[in-house]
Amino acid sequence: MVVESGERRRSRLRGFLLAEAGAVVLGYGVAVLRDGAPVSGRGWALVVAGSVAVAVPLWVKSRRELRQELETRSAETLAIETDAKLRLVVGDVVTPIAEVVGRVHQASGKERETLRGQLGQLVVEAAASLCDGERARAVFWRLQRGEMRAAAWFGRGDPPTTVFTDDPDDRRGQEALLLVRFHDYVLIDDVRAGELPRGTEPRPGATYRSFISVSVFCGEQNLGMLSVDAPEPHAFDDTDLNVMRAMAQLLGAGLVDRH
Amino acid sequence: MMRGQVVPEEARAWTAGLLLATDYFAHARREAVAKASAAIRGRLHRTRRASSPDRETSR
Repeated sequence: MVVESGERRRSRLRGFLLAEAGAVVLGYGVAVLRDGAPVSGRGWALVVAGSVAVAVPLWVKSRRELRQELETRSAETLAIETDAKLRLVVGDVVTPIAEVVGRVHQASGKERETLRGQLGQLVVEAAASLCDGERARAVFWRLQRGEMRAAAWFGRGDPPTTVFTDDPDDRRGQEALLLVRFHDYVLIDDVRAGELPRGTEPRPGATYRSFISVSVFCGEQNLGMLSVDAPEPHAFDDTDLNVMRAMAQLLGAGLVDRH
Repeated sequence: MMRGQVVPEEARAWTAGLLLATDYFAHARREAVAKASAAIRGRLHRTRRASSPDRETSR
């Protein structure tokens, strides 16, 4: 749809330029009809020089206008993408998930636990689908008895097997648990580039290059960590980070226990 | 005038596990792009019309 309309406008612009060139040719034709065609070499040289003098500005103008048109079209496409993402996040994800959060707090016992499991799955599906990384994978690591294990995941094939613990030799686990405790987030553009914050190094054989991890909590209750990763470096940006923060808070609101 | 459901049927089907996330998001993305496209073009059109000189009064 976007391309079709752009092509239509581009051809209209070309039409204007052709009309301009046609007007020049028509002017020349009228001159030839009135005064006759050039008879000498000098006359023809004059015609050629006149043609070049008309064609060069037309060519420069057409290139400039086409470039401007292209820039406008890129800006329009970007605006459409941004607006579409906003609609997706707010209308198609946050609204239905907020409704499930409400239902979690209306339910009790086994039904509540089922809805909580469902909520975790919805959040990872939304996170993986909304974040820009190609073949992204989102995981909710549930914090229970001081350890974090994958409770829900969605996206790229390989299921997560990592368990984050507080063992002295589990540096990554310790740092992940600290991230949850301090209600922090981390965005890593490339796990193979330069210096990384402590504990964010990938495990051996990891299939991801970039990731975002966000603490899931509500008030003082720490509930786990929501993460999204992708096999490409620089797969995520600020917008993805903000989507993840919102998803983590929605999840926290649904998982929190009443004091 | 606009009237509709706060949580549409497709979204309810997704949250209830009756619709696959991949199908839901593929459909939602298509709809969002179509609506965003119409909205942005409409806004651009109105902006262009507002910023161009009024032919009626300039004569």
